This record gives sequence, C-alpha cells and structure tokens, in this order.
Amino acid sequence: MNKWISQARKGTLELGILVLLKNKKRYGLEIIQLLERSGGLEVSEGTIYPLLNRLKRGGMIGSEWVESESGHPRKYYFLTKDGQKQIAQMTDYWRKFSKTLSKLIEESERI
Amino acid sequence: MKELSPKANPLLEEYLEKLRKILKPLSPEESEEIVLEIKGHILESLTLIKEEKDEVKNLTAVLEKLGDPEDYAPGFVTDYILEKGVKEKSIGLIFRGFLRWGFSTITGFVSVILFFALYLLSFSLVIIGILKPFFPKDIGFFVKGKSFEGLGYIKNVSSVPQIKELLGYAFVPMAIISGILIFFVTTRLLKKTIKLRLELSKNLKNRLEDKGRG
Repeated sequence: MNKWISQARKGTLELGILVLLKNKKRYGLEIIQLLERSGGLEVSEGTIYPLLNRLKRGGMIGSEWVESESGHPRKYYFLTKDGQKQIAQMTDYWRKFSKTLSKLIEESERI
Repeated sequence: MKELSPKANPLLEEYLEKLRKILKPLSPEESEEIVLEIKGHILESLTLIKEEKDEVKNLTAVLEKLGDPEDYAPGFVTDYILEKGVKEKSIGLIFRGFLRWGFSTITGFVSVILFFALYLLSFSLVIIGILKPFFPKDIGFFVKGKSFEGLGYIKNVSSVPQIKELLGYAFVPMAIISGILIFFVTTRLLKKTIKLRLELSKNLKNRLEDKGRG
C-alpha cells in the first residue's frame, strides 16, 4: 500500500509542480514546502530537483537566479509559454480522469 | 552568507562532494549550478529550524530529509546523457543513458529489458538464417503434428520422427528478413521512447523561444 501511494505520488508530482508555478515563480524549497503542506511528499526532498531539471529540459519551465534576503541566491522557476499551454491540457485531462475514476469507485460501492 | 561552525561545515562539504561526484558526467557549469541550488536548499532549511540545537544535529536532520545524493542525483545525469546522445546522434551515449535509465526507475528497467529482448530476437533470427545451410536438419521452423514445436536450432531434432521442419531453405530469407525488420521496428520504437522521455521537439522549440526572449 505504501509503495502504491509513493508510486501514485511520483506520477502526479510533475503536475503538482506545474500547478504551483501557474501564477507565480517559485524556488525549490518553497515548492517542497507547499507540496508537503498539501498532504505529505512521500518522497525525499531531493527528488524534486531532478524533476524540476527534467521539466526545464522539456521546455515546460524556465529558471532564473535571484538574490534574496536569506543570504544565498535562490533559483526561481517559472512556466514558459509552452508550459502554460501544456498545463491547461493536463489539468483538463486530470479533471476528466479523476471524475471517471470517482464514478467507477462510487458505482463499485453501490453494489 | 552565514558561515557554518567548523564542526558542521565538513559535513556539508562531504555531502556536496558526494553530489559533485555523481554529477561528474555533466558539464562543469551545469554541475556547479545544481550544487549551488542544493547548497542553498540546505542552508536555508537550516535557518528555518527554530530550536537552537546543536548545528551538527540540525544539519544531519536537514540532509536526511533531503535524501542521499545517490538516491536522487543520478536523475540529473540520465536526462543529460540521453539528450546529448540524441543531439550528437551518438549511439554510445544513447546506450549509456538508456542503461542508466534502466537502473534508476521501474519504467526504465522494463523498457531496457524489453528492448534488449527485441534486439536479441532480431540478431538471433539473422544468425540462424545464415547458419541454416550449415545445419539444414537442425535449424528451421519445427512443428509436431499441428502444434508449434520450436524455431531456430534444436540439436538432433531430425532423429524425432514426429517433428517436421516446415519451411526448408525458404527459412533463410524469411529468418533474415524478419530479423532485419524487427531490428528496424525496434530501433524506431527506441527512438520514439527516448524522444517521449525527453520531449525533445518541444524542448528545441522552447530553447529558441527562450533565446528570443533573452
């Protein structure tokens, strides 16, 4: 069961990251904290960074270094134009997918 | 930047050195950027710990939450190698990246096994096709009555009277052609899989857009 949860989480982590970047640029630690707050990360924090790197290579997000009052510069990520288009499609798909799945679960519980 | 205590600093350096080692295949700029980002994560996480405990203890907790570089950092390298391989059309690099992927995720592992099996099948078909004229009785497409018995080389199969070979010397071109066909189909599939993983077309397009933006 725990394994299933961590698999499911990993699969949806990318979408989670993109959603968090939809309206605001954010840096790695901030993304991790927001994901943790929304119900546990279930993976070690470091996993986020290769994922961000991959999304960047895929052209979905871009990055920039910004000096901060915390003393060390932060690497901020933001959605690219292409990422914005993609996330609209992905959220649409996700809504349909979760609706179908919830329906299936409800029907199975009725019997 | 706040300096760490002389006791905590070696611990941090050791962690970052381990990370650097794993990132070695990357370009130095890329590697250093990742190290800087992770270092920032660690130092900022430290400032977020409220209780003034021992700095070494705090750092250990932060590093534990972040995870061992061996658990997450190979992910950086795999994508880098695959992308470079596709860009430079280097079979060696693609192969290396693909193997790394196989060792790092379940999807990758299944894909690597699958592609390995397909390539093995294609090479075996070509080889037994070529060998058929040398062992005409032992190599071929064998049936026992109406059911399939075997394909390829079966030692001393001609001594079993119920088993018959169906194709004769037509086996030579058929095995070689199907072997070559499977080779090309597998290679195409492999290219598609890697492209899908990298989302390369989008990537290239976006690079250009990013450059246009400055």
